[in-house]
Amino acid sequence: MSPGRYFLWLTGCTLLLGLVFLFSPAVGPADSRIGVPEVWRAWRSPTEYPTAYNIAFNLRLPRALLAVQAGITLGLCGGVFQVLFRNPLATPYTLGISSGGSLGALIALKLGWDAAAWGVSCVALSAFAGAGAVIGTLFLFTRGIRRLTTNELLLAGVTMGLFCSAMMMFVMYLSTERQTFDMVRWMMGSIVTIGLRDSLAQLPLMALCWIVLISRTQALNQYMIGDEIAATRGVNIARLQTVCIVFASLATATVVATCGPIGFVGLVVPQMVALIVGHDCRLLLPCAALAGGVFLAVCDWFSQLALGWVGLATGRTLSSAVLPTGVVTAMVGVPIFLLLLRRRSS
Amino acid sequence: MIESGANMSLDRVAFGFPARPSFLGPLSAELHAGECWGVVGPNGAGKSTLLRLAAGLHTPTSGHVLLDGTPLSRIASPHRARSIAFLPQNPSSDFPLPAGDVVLMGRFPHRRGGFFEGAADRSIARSVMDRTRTRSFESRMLSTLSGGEAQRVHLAAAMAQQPRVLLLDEPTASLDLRHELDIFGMLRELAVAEGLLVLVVTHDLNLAARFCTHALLLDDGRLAAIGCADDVLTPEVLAPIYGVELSIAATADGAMRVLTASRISGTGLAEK
Repeated sequence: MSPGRYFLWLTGCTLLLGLVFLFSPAVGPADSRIGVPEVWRAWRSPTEYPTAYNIAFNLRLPRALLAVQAGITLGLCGGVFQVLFRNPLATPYTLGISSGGSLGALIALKLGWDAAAWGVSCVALSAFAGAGAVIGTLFLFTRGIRRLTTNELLLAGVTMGLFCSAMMMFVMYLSTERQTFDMVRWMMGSIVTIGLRDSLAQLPLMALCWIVLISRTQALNQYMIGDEIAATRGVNIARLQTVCIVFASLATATVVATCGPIGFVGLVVPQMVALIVGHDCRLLLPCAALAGGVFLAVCDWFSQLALGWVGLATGRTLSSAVLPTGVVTAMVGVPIFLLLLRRRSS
Repeated sequence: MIESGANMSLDRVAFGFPARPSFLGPLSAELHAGECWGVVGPNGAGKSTLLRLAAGLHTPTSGHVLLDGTPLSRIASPHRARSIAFLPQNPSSDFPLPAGDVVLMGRFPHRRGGFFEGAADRSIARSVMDRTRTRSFESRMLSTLSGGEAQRVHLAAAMAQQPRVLLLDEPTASLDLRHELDIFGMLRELAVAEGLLVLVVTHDLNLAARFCTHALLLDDGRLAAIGCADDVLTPEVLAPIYGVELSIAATADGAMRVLTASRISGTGLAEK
């Protein structure tokens, strides 16, 4: 790979992400009627248009910031897991992190823990703990196994996920209607922020994980060729696997805790990107990360716009103007994924 | 182009799996730079295990593998990777990277943290692709190549590593006759003309006899014979190990020796 090609793609993806981010203050539910001109005026003179300024820069911008962070994490971790498990169906949730996180969140909702501090809610903390418990259990389970294949780890992770799903049903069974409603809403996955601080609380942890994962791209390239060849070229396979699983899981757990289990970003984005830039991890992983940010931010635009458009088409005003983002990523992601599958097999 | 080879010695090396604690050895051997070793023996004799021990993928349960006098276990793996290249028996080719990139990746141990391949890396990759005749499908995805083509690409990648010791496990298993001769001719040249130490596991005794300078015959985890290829690859030595009757016939030009298995002998397997 030539440096020129590398920097060209990376600059392109970064510019695209910047563009999406730049326009995000001007995109929101249709009935708010705050578009590009209004945002521009509010930016120039906040005191004259305080409402528009508030909506654009204290609601929409933090929301986009969170969407971009979550998208970067899911795109990157999806790509890492697909390489690590040598399986195109692997996602950041493959090891049961989403089910573990959801179980944690559901327990918090069931017990009515609703306190929050420094932008971190008890539900998010509990979800994070749940995801962490799943990964911890996996490592306890695999400890002492001399040579663990990725397939065994995959099976163990999927089984853990199924167990957590069963426990989730158990918790829901014990809950009141109101609690169940909150739980179902949470599991749809949505990007909700209360302010800038709220959307930056998890950034240091995520950024640490991004850096660690991106720094492993050369080793992952060798890993792709095969365990034995990579090992004789100086890659410590066991350590590479452990580091990737720990940091990808940590980052993903943070996303699950803050946004709920948003699906399809980690599955679809790395594969779309690989079709365009190829499978060299040095380029694929950073591009998948940036594209993940673009994808989730744009999906979040749709989640805010979709019901407004439906309202315009049917002539009704729809009061709940925002769709859960997880629903939109599935609606966009599934058709794209099926098309990709056709292209791959043809 | 390639720095000269290294000497490797096996000092009472033994290895076993939990299920078979004394699978291989203890065996000792002195392998020198400039020698092309054919590692031969029946299925399950321990040929691949010996190669993995030499590559540092397995640690001996007792004894040492020494590279220029230093035990492999005391050489850090990134450092070792600059001396020893290893090609496993059936390397995966089920990944969508272009053949040229796969060969360039062989330069990884020498880049020492560098992120991009430099002009030197590229020219080395080009030259090993020329030697293995893989240049023509440089830009094709490895997953779209035939088994033999992919095998040659992996071999080129191992050579791009510019090792002093080259370890190959049946590198010609899926190659046609012409490429088989090509590759073995090249391996001999790497050893004899360029001074590498080459170890190649093969089932083709003809090729081993024709191209290897030395041979190491394994049988059931022990060293049955070791020495010059001419001394080891003879009917008298091989017949009892393989349990078949063998004879030698010279070709018209007198250069090639053919070992023919006429029929399964009554002794051999039964004797052991």
